[in-house]
Amino acid sequence: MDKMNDTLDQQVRQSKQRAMQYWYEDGFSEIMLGILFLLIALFFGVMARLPADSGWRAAFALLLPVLIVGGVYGLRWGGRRLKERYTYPRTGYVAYRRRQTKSRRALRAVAGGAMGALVGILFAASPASQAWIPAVQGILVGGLFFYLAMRLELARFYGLALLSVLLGVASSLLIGAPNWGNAAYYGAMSASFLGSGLWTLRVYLRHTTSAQEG
Amino acid sequence: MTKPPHSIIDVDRVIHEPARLLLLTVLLLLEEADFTYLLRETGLTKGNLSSHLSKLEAAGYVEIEKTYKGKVPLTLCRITEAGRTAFEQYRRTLDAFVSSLPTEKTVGED
Repeated sequence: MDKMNDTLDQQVRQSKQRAMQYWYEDGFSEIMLGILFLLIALFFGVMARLPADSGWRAAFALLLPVLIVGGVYGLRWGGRRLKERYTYPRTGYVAYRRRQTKSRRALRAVAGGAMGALVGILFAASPASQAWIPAVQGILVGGLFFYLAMRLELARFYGLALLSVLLGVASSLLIGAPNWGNAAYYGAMSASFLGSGLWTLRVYLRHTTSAQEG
Repeated sequence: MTKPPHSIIDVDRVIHEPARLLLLTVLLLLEEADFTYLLRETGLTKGNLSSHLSKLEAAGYVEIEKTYKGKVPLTLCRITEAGRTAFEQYRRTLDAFVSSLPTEKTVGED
Protein backbone atom coordinates (compact mmCIF):
# COMPACT_ATOMS: atom_id res chain seq x y z
CA MET A 1 0.00 0.00 0.00
CA ASP A 2 3.03 2.24 0.17
CA LYS A 3 2.82 2.36 -3.61
CA MET A 4 0.92 5.67 -3.55
CA ASN A 5 3.68 7.48 -1.71
CA ASP A 6 6.43 5.58 -3.51
CA THR A 7 4.94 6.82 -6.76
CA LEU A 8 4.95 10.42 -5.50
CA ASP A 9 8.56 10.13 -4.32
CA GLN A 10 9.51 8.49 -7.59
CA GLN A 11 7.81 11.29 -9.52
CA VAL A 12 9.76 13.90 -7.53
CA ARG A 13 13.02 12.02 -8.19
CA GLN A 14 12.26 11.67 -11.90
CA SER A 15 11.38 15.36 -12.23
CA LYS A 16 14.65 16.27 -10.56
CA GLN A 17 16.62 14.00 -12.84
CA ARG A 18 14.84 15.26 -15.95
CA ALA A 19 15.48 18.87 -14.93
CA MET A 20 19.19 18.11 -14.51
CA GLN A 21 19.35 16.13 -17.77
CA TYR A 22 17.75 19.08 -19.55
CA TRP A 23 20.92 21.14 -19.04
CA TYR A 24 22.91 18.63 -21.11
CA GLU A 25 20.24 17.87 -23.70
CA ASP A 26 21.45 20.37 -26.33
CA GLY A 27 25.16 19.50 -26.12
CA PHE A 28 26.24 23.11 -25.53
CA SER A 29 27.90 22.28 -22.19
CA GLU A 30 30.15 19.70 -23.91
CA ILE A 31 30.90 22.09 -26.77
CA MET A 32 31.94 24.78 -24.27
CA LEU A 33 34.07 22.27 -22.34
CA GLY A 34 35.61 21.18 -25.64
CA ILE A 35 36.62 24.78 -26.40
CA LEU A 36 38.10 25.18 -22.90
CA PHE A 37 40.10 21.94 -23.29
CA LEU A 38 41.28 23.11 -26.71
CA LEU A 39 42.60 26.36 -25.18
CA ILE A 40 44.37 24.36 -22.46
CA ALA A 41 45.85 22.02 -25.10
CA LEU A 42 47.17 25.05 -27.02
CA PHE A 43 48.63 26.41 -23.79
CA PHE A 44 50.55 23.19 -23.14
CA GLY A 45 51.58 23.01 -26.80
CA VAL A 46 53.13 26.48 -26.57
CA MET A 47 54.73 25.59 -23.21
CA ALA A 48 56.34 22.53 -24.77
CA ARG A 49 57.82 24.64 -27.58
CA LEU A 50 59.27 27.34 -25.34
CA PRO A 51 62.87 26.69 -24.26
CA ALA A 52 63.25 25.29 -20.75
CA ASP A 53 64.52 27.72 -18.07
CA SER A 54 63.58 30.73 -20.21
CA GLY A 55 61.90 33.77 -18.67
CA TRP A 56 59.20 33.62 -21.34
CA ARG A 57 58.26 30.12 -20.30
CA ALA A 58 58.00 31.07 -16.60
CA ALA A 59 55.88 34.11 -17.49
CA PHE A 60 53.72 32.09 -19.87
CA ALA A 61 53.13 29.43 -17.19
CA LEU A 62 51.36 32.06 -15.08
CA LEU A 63 48.70 32.30 -17.79
CA LEU A 64 47.24 28.86 -16.99
CA PRO A 65 45.12 29.86 -13.95
CA VAL A 66 43.96 33.00 -15.81
CA LEU A 67 43.08 30.87 -18.83
CA ILE A 68 41.14 28.35 -16.73
CA VAL A 69 39.23 30.88 -14.59
CA GLY A 70 38.62 33.30 -17.49
CA GLY A 71 37.73 30.42 -19.80
CA VAL A 72 35.21 28.95 -17.35
CA TYR A 73 33.46 32.32 -16.88
CA GLY A 74 33.65 33.30 -20.54
CA LEU A 75 32.39 29.97 -21.81
CA ARG A 76 29.65 29.86 -19.20
CA TRP A 77 28.51 33.26 -20.48
CA GLY A 78 28.76 32.02 -24.08
CA GLY A 79 26.87 28.83 -23.23
CA ARG A 80 24.05 30.87 -21.70
CA ARG A 81 23.79 33.09 -24.80
CA LEU A 82 23.65 30.00 -27.03
CA LYS A 83 20.93 28.45 -24.88
CA GLU A 84 18.95 31.68 -25.04
CA ARG A 85 19.29 31.70 -28.82
CA TYR A 86 18.66 28.01 -29.62
CA THR A 87 17.41 26.00 -26.63
CA TYR A 88 14.93 28.16 -24.72
CA PRO A 89 12.81 29.10 -27.77
CA ARG A 90 12.56 25.38 -28.63
CA THR A 91 12.08 23.48 -25.41
CA GLY A 92 11.73 26.18 -22.77
CA TYR A 93 13.67 28.06 -20.16
CA VAL A 94 14.45 26.84 -16.65
CA ALA A 95 16.47 28.36 -13.83
CA TYR A 96 17.84 25.90 -11.32
CA ARG A 97 17.63 26.36 -7.57
CA ARG A 98 20.77 27.75 -5.95
CA ARG A 99 21.05 24.74 -3.65
CA GLN A 100 21.91 22.58 -6.67
CA THR A 101 24.50 25.12 -7.81
CA LYS A 102 26.16 24.98 -4.39
CA SER A 103 26.44 21.21 -4.48
CA ARG A 104 27.93 21.41 -7.97
CA ARG A 105 30.41 24.03 -6.78
CA ALA A 106 31.37 21.79 -3.86
CA LEU A 107 31.85 18.87 -6.24
CA ARG A 108 34.03 21.00 -8.53
CA ALA A 109 36.06 22.24 -5.55
CA VAL A 110 36.63 18.66 -4.34
CA ALA A 111 37.56 17.46 -7.85
CA GLY A 112 39.85 20.47 -8.40
CA GLY A 113 41.44 20.04 -4.97
CA ALA A 114 42.02 16.32 -5.53
CA MET A 115 43.52 17.00 -8.96
CA GLY A 116 45.77 19.75 -7.60
CA ALA A 117 46.89 17.60 -4.66
CA LEU A 118 47.67 14.58 -6.84
CA VAL A 119 49.55 16.64 -9.41
CA GLY A 120 51.44 18.38 -6.57
CA ILE A 121 52.41 15.03 -5.04
CA LEU A 122 53.57 13.78 -8.44
CA PHE A 123 55.67 16.89 -9.00
CA ALA A 124 57.22 16.60 -5.57
CA ALA A 125 57.87 12.85 -5.79
CA SER A 126 60.14 12.81 -8.80
CA PRO A 127 60.53 14.54 -12.16
CA ALA A 128 60.03 11.19 -13.91
CA SER A 129 56.55 10.85 -12.41
CA GLN A 130 55.48 14.07 -14.15
CA ALA A 131 54.92 11.96 -17.23
CA TRP A 132 51.92 10.45 -15.37
CA ILE A 133 50.16 13.80 -14.94
CA PRO A 134 47.98 13.30 -18.07
CA ALA A 135 46.93 9.88 -16.73
CA VAL A 136 45.99 11.35 -13.34
CA GLN A 137 43.99 14.13 -15.02
CA GLY A 138 42.34 11.59 -17.31
CA ILE A 139 41.29 9.46 -14.35
CA LEU A 140 39.94 12.45 -12.41
CA VAL A 141 38.01 13.90 -15.36
CA GLY A 142 36.81 10.37 -16.16
CA GLY A 143 35.67 9.91 -12.55
CA LEU A 144 33.72 13.16 -12.70
CA PHE A 145 31.98 12.14 -15.92
CA PHE A 146 31.29 8.66 -14.55
CA TYR A 147 29.62 10.26 -11.52
CA LEU A 148 27.56 12.55 -13.78
CA ALA A 149 26.61 9.63 -16.02
CA MET A 150 25.37 7.62 -13.05
CA ARG A 151 23.52 10.53 -11.48
CA LEU A 152 21.87 11.75 -14.65
CA GLU A 153 21.63 8.39 -16.44
CA LEU A 154 23.29 9.86 -19.54
CA ALA A 155 24.86 7.02 -21.53
CA ARG A 156 27.18 9.23 -23.61
CA PHE A 157 28.88 10.45 -20.42
CA TYR A 158 29.98 6.87 -19.66
CA GLY A 159 31.70 6.90 -23.05
CA LEU A 160 33.38 10.23 -22.32
CA ALA A 161 34.50 8.95 -18.89
CA LEU A 162 36.07 5.87 -20.46
CA LEU A 163 37.69 7.95 -23.23
CA SER A 164 39.16 10.34 -20.67
CA VAL A 165 40.83 7.52 -18.74
CA LEU A 166 42.11 5.79 -21.90
CA LEU A 167 43.42 9.01 -23.48
CA GLY A 168 45.05 10.12 -20.22
CA VAL A 169 46.85 6.81 -19.73
CA ALA A 170 47.78 6.62 -23.43
CA SER A 171 49.20 10.18 -23.37
CA SER A 172 51.35 9.26 -20.36
CA LEU A 173 52.55 5.97 -21.79
CA LEU A 174 53.19 7.07 -25.36
CA ILE A 175 54.46 10.61 -24.79
CA GLY A 176 57.08 10.98 -22.11
CA ALA A 177 57.33 14.79 -21.97
CA PRO A 178 54.69 16.16 -19.54
CA ASN A 179 53.79 19.28 -21.58
CA TRP A 180 53.37 17.34 -24.82
CA GLY A 181 51.47 14.66 -22.89
CA ASN A 182 49.12 17.26 -21.44
CA ALA A 183 48.70 18.90 -24.86
CA ALA A 184 47.86 15.51 -26.38
CA TYR A 185 45.38 14.59 -23.61
CA TYR A 186 43.58 17.95 -23.64
CA GLY A 187 43.59 18.09 -27.43
CA ALA A 188 42.14 14.60 -27.77
CA MET A 189 39.56 15.22 -25.04
CA SER A 190 38.65 18.53 -26.68
CA ALA A 191 37.94 16.68 -29.92
CA SER A 192 35.88 14.10 -27.98
CA PHE A 193 33.82 16.76 -26.17
CA LEU A 194 33.29 18.77 -29.36
CA GLY A 195 32.32 15.62 -31.29
CA SER A 196 29.89 14.47 -28.60
CA GLY A 197 28.47 17.98 -28.11
CA LEU A 198 28.00 18.70 -31.81
CA TRP A 199 26.37 15.32 -32.40
CA THR A 200 24.01 15.91 -29.43
CA LEU A 201 23.22 19.40 -30.73
CA ARG A 202 22.49 18.02 -34.21
CA VAL A 203 20.08 15.43 -32.78
CA TYR A 204 18.50 18.06 -30.53
CA LEU A 205 17.95 20.55 -33.37
CA ARG A 206 16.54 17.81 -35.60
CA HIS A 207 13.96 16.75 -33.02
CA THR A 208 12.85 20.16 -31.83
CA THR A 209 11.36 23.21 -33.46
CA SER A 210 11.15 26.76 -32.20
CA ALA A 211 7.87 26.95 -30.29
CA GLN A 212 6.30 30.31 -29.61
CA GLU A 213 3.80 30.69 -26.81
CA GLY A 214 0.22 30.97 -27.83
CA MET B 1 -6.60 0.25 17.35
CA THR B 2 -5.56 2.07 14.22
CA LYS B 3 -6.74 5.57 13.42
CA PRO B 4 -9.60 5.58 10.86
CA PRO B 5 -8.41 6.68 7.41
CA HIS B 6 -10.59 9.83 7.34
CA SER B 7 -7.51 12.09 7.16
CA ILE B 8 -7.61 11.68 3.37
CA ILE B 9 -10.74 13.87 3.33
CA ASP B 10 -8.57 16.75 4.54
CA VAL B 11 -6.25 16.42 1.56
CA ASP B 12 -5.65 19.64 -0.40
CA ARG B 13 -7.85 19.23 -3.48
CA VAL B 14 -6.02 21.93 -5.41
CA ILE B 15 -2.87 19.77 -5.30
CA HIS B 16 -4.62 16.40 -5.43
CA GLU B 17 -5.57 16.83 -9.11
CA PRO B 18 -2.91 14.83 -11.07
CA ALA B 19 -1.97 17.56 -13.57
CA ARG B 20 -1.53 20.17 -10.82
CA LEU B 21 0.40 17.69 -8.68
CA LEU B 22 2.73 17.07 -11.61
CA LEU B 23 3.12 20.82 -12.20
CA LEU B 24 4.02 21.44 -8.55
CA THR B 25 6.45 18.52 -8.58
CA VAL B 26 8.25 20.00 -11.59
CA LEU B 27 8.34 23.52 -10.15
CA LEU B 28 9.36 22.32 -6.69
CA LEU B 29 12.90 21.61 -7.87
CA LEU B 30 13.42 24.71 -9.98
CA GLU B 31 13.87 28.40 -9.33
CA GLU B 32 11.54 29.14 -12.25
CA ALA B 33 10.42 27.69 -15.55
CA ASP B 34 8.64 29.08 -18.56
CA PHE B 35 5.39 27.96 -20.15
CA THR B 36 7.17 26.09 -22.99
CA TYR B 37 9.20 23.96 -20.56
CA LEU B 38 6.12 23.13 -18.48
CA LEU B 39 4.19 22.18 -21.65
CA ARG B 40 6.93 19.74 -22.58
CA GLU B 41 7.36 18.29 -19.10
CA THR B 42 3.68 17.78 -18.35
CA GLY B 43 2.43 16.84 -21.83
CA LEU B 44 -0.67 19.00 -21.27
CA THR B 45 -2.29 21.11 -23.96
CA LYS B 46 -1.75 24.88 -23.84
CA GLY B 47 -5.31 25.48 -22.66
CA ASN B 48 -5.13 22.82 -19.95
CA LEU B 49 -1.79 24.01 -18.70
CA SER B 50 -2.97 27.60 -18.60
CA SER B 51 -6.10 26.60 -16.68
CA HIS B 52 -4.21 24.53 -14.10
CA LEU B 53 -1.61 27.25 -13.62
CA SER B 54 -4.38 29.78 -13.02
CA LYS B 55 -5.88 27.53 -10.33
CA LEU B 56 -2.51 27.12 -8.63
CA GLU B 57 -1.96 30.87 -8.85
CA ALA B 58 -5.39 31.57 -7.35
CA ALA B 59 -4.52 29.25 -4.44
CA GLY B 60 -1.28 31.22 -3.93
CA TYR B 61 0.89 28.19 -4.71
CA VAL B 62 2.44 29.52 -7.89
CA GLU B 63 3.57 32.96 -9.05
CA ILE B 64 3.14 33.79 -12.73
CA GLU B 65 5.03 36.60 -14.41
CA LYS B 66 4.03 37.56 -17.93
CA THR B 67 6.73 39.35 -19.83
CA TYR B 68 8.29 39.59 -23.30
CA LYS B 69 11.58 38.38 -24.69
CA GLY B 70 11.97 40.63 -27.70
CA LYS B 71 8.57 40.31 -29.37
CA VAL B 72 7.90 36.82 -28.03
CA PRO B 73 5.63 36.51 -24.99
CA LEU B 74 7.28 34.79 -22.05
CA THR B 75 5.39 33.34 -19.09
CA LEU B 76 7.58 32.57 -16.11
CA CYS B 77 6.24 30.37 -13.34
CA ARG B 78 7.67 29.74 -9.92
CA ILE B 79 6.42 27.93 -6.84
CA THR B 80 5.76 30.12 -3.79
CA GLU B 81 6.67 29.37 -0.18
CA ALA B 82 2.98 28.63 0.44
CA GLY B 83 3.12 26.17 -2.48
CA ARG B 84 6.11 24.37 -0.99
CA THR B 85 4.45 24.17 2.42
CA ALA B 86 1.18 22.93 0.88
CA PHE B 87 3.05 20.26 -1.11
CA GLU B 88 4.83 19.01 2.01
CA GLN B 89 1.54 19.00 3.93
CA TYR B 90 -0.07 17.04 1.08
CA ARG B 91 2.75 14.53 1.22
CA ARG B 92 2.35 14.13 4.98
CA THR B 93 -1.44 13.71 4.70
CA LEU B 94 -0.96 11.05 2.05
CA ASP B 95 1.67 9.35 4.21
CA ALA B 96 -0.61 9.32 7.25
CA PHE B 97 -3.49 7.95 5.19
CA VAL B 98 -1.42 5.16 3.66
CA SER B 99 0.06 4.09 7.00
CA SER B 100 -3.40 4.09 8.65
CA LEU B 101 -4.73 1.53 6.18
CA PRO B 102 -4.82 -2.11 7.29
CA THR B 103 -2.30 -4.33 5.53
CA GLU B 104 -3.40 -7.49 3.68
CA LYS B 105 -2.01 -9.55 6.58
CA THR B 106 -4.03 -7.75 9.29
CA VAL B 107 -7.22 -7.96 7.20
CA GLY B 108 -6.68 -11.72 6.93
CA GLU B 109 -6.23 -12.01 10.72
CA ASP B 110 -9.58 -10.26 11.35
